[in-house]
Amino acid sequence: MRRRSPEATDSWRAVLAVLGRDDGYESRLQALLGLAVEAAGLPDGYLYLAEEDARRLHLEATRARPAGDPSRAAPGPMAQTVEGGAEWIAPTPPLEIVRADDIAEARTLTTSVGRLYSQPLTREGTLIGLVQVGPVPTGDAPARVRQTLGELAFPLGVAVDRARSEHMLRQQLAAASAREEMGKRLAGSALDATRFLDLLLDLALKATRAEGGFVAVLEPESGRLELRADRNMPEDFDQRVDLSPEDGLFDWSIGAEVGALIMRDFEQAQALGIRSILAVPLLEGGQPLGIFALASFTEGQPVGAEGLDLLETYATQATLMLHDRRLFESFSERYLDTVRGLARSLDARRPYLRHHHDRVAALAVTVGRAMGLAEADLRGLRTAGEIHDVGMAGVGDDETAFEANLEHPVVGATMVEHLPLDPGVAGAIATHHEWYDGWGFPAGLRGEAIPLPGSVLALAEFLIEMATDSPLREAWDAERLLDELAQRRGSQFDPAVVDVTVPLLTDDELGLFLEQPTTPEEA
Amino acid sequence: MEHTTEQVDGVTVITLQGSIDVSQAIELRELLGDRISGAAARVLLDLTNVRLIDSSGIGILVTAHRRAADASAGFALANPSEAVGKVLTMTRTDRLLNVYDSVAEGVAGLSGAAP
Repeated sequence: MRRRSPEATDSWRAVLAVLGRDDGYESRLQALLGLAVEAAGLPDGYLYLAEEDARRLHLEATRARPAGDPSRAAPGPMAQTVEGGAEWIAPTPPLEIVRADDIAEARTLTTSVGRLYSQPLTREGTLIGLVQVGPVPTGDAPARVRQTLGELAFPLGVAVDRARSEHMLRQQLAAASAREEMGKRLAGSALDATRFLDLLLDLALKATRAEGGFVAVLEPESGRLELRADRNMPEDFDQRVDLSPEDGLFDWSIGAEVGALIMRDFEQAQALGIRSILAVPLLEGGQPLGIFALASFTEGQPVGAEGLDLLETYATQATLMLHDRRLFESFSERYLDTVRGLARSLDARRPYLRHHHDRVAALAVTVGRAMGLAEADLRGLRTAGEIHDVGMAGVGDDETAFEANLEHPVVGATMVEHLPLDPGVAGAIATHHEWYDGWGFPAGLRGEAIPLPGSVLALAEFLIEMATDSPLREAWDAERLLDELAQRRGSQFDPAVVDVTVPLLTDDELGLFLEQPTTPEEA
Repeated sequence: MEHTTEQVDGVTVITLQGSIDVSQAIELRELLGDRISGAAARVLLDLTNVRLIDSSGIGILVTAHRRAADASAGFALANPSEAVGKVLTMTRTDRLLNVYDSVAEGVAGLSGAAP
């Protein structure tokens, strides 16, 4: 067995002492490089570590004379004079070395920082890094340097490999922990898009160096990017940033066929105070769904090399959520069409109910618009009108019919309450038989407790039913309807709704007495 | 962002050093804009020593690629680091840009390209 020299034994002890310290990764590498530099007795040293596939090596630690040290001045490709003076800027070593065939040989080579002696570090036959020390004079490095570094190479290789393994394990644990936390925090909010994206942004900021970020989602109908979540972005960012596809901050058109996302207008980013921004496209089958962006406003980039995998994870989560949401919306629309069809089939059972749901919906929207409801509320009101009596489906003509009739608002509301519709839809269906004075059904709500869309729907259905011939009565004319509304104002109906409806009825703007609409098939 | 420029086999090889973000985007735009002019231009951007690049830098690279294509000039990237390569992949711009594994391959590819 080969015996170690006393110096080599000391080297092992020194290396083990570094490993035994509870320092961070960078400090350990720095200390190990320091051992090599001191053992070689030369002023400068550089430690490069190989990537996993060993194709490239990255500069991970430097121990060199200060940049202002005149002894470092040397002409070279990276050296330049400073404006107004003859001062030299110290040359800088390459940040990355691409592996060449002879890289695993100990040798002297010429670099941008002068002549260096390069000692490979291997572990079980695999190159894990290089220690380069210098400067060495013309010719080969002194024998002492070669021997000392040769003896130190093995313990250094073991120590560097171990330090790096521990560092990678810590990073993996941090990433796994971030993912687990994400899973826990996102539970139960998969369909709440805004909350989900807010959480993703929070987690991304926590896991990277980013100081702010935002998520913009492409709206299929308008083709525009809409800001859905943002964190720590400049004041009024949503107003100041231009996300239009034609000339805004981002451009998808250049790489439309591959979904490539280009930042078009970095001057706009600069005007917003953004120092660096990394925007990742959210794609489904190559088609854009949105953008996940992280930004920094002071120094450095928002995501270092080590954080890119995490950013990709968050972007994937956002993509999956957007995919699920679109799938659910598509499913919901088809389900709603089925419910509409069911409601129309009820109308087809009796001649006097012909087009009942569509007529109630149209009249409710006319009244709602006169009351100043917003367009989104009017869309909800129309949907509620189109299906308000669907809870009557399955009710026969036997003795259970009366009881079922009383429950039909709740049954109908239950059929749609889990859909991603305006909550006003289910509420309007559930309350369209409530009375303003509390004498209605099924809950006996009164006054303001009845949501306005429910009150509007109630009045609309009353007018449609009473203006239509049925086996129970002949249709009432406008005069009779106006009398009844006056009597029922404040008892059955919300006075505010009646007050808006009366002029519409007086001026015959409700279309109550026109020919009933025909379907395309009937036409 | 430091850079050096040299001519190799009729190809202008620009070697960048450092990171590219919004604050350096104008510099990069001017650097490339001056050199990508006319069908004879052959420009290879050596990214060996670029540690990170952000969306503004990517935007400049793609614009340079388009300008070169419009002018029937040649423009390519060489030897991006793992992190820069990852950003190109994540933004899908790796599918638009011409990327060579080494400067030598890039020079060979561009110098042999039909004008």
